[in-house]
Amino acid sequence: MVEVRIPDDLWDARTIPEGVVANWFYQDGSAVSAGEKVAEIMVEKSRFEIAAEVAGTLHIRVPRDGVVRPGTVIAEIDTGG
Amino acid sequence: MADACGSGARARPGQPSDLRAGEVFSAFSCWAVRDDHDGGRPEARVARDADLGRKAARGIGPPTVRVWDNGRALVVGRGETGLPRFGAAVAALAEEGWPVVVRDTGGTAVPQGPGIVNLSLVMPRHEEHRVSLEAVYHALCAPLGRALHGMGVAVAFGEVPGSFCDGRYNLVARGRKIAGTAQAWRIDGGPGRRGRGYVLAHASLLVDCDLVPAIEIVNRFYRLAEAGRRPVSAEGATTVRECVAAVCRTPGQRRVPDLTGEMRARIVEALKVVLGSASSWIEDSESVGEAPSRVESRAGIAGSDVGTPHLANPVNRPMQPTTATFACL
Repeated sequence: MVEVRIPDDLWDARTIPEGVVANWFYQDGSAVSAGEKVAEIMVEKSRFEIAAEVAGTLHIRVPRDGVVRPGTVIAEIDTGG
Repeated sequence: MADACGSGARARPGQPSDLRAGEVFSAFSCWAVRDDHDGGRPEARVARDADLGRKAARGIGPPTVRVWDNGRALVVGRGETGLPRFGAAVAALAEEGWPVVVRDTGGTAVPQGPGIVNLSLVMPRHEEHRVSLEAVYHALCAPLGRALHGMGVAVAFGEVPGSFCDGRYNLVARGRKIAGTAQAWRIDGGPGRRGRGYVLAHASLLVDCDLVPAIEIVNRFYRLAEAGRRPVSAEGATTVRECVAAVCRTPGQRRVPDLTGEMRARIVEALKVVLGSASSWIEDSESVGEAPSRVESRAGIAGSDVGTPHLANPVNRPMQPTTATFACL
């Protein structure tokens, strides 16, 4: 399993407490390719797209509208290995 | 006394900082400053940011800071396309001469038109150039803060409840919103482009415009789209014109006839100063769609001859269609 994670240093949680998952571009259990955009989060009027680092099966851990913070794992990708 | 952090209170973003801006500007060896008077339809002018971003992401264009204006339009974040009657609202406002344009960044509806100056920052989004959302807001707003300071207008980041497209990284003057900001961190996917993308941040500065009809259009859009939102107020915003008038109460005080043009020129000058803290200069002038026609080396590093940067468009001088200035390490 490879984590899909909000970068730890994307924002300072002391200034901006949290963001939300604004969209998933694939359903849970979908096959995704490496480098493909899989989700976007919204934090302080910033729309941040997140790509799959590896190809595999997407397992969503934080649903749409779920709250996220820096370092939150929003999904895992099962590479089948 | 309770500790602010320990009590869970949020830290305030404070004022735009050249130092924080430097975290972004020093990440790349070359920046272009584009003073863009290209004209065109509002959607084309908005789309130009994404075009610059894609070029930067693919290594065929430099990281760029773009100063630009727009025709009369209402520019909305992509999230607003999901409003119940978005299409009907777009059609109705188009009939009234207010085209609605969807932008890539977050946030809600923002009016555009004469007297409003936009500043966009686009740069590649690479793992080796990790910067934070906050640092990007500082990079976007430090030049604006410097330019406004030169007009006697002090600004800080902050929310203004009841203002249009409110957010913590508004620029606020005299308790009112004077500029709004937003960002998009895009992935430029496709064969051979894995891991590439670009960051787009932009600000809209209210310089010399009538806020009442502009805010009424924002509220009308949301009524037509059946968004069910509380109306925003023109009282929550201000303009550079209002702030300058409040500072300069001396009878007979010179009234700047083209405040918008002067503000643009000051922003370009401020950009060169902020970028100059980490860069030396190469200048270039070009027309959109044509190859650069002139490249002039501005030799040296910060603190040498870039201490008094050459202005491509000094204050009150007629502007060329587009002027791009490159600052390079």
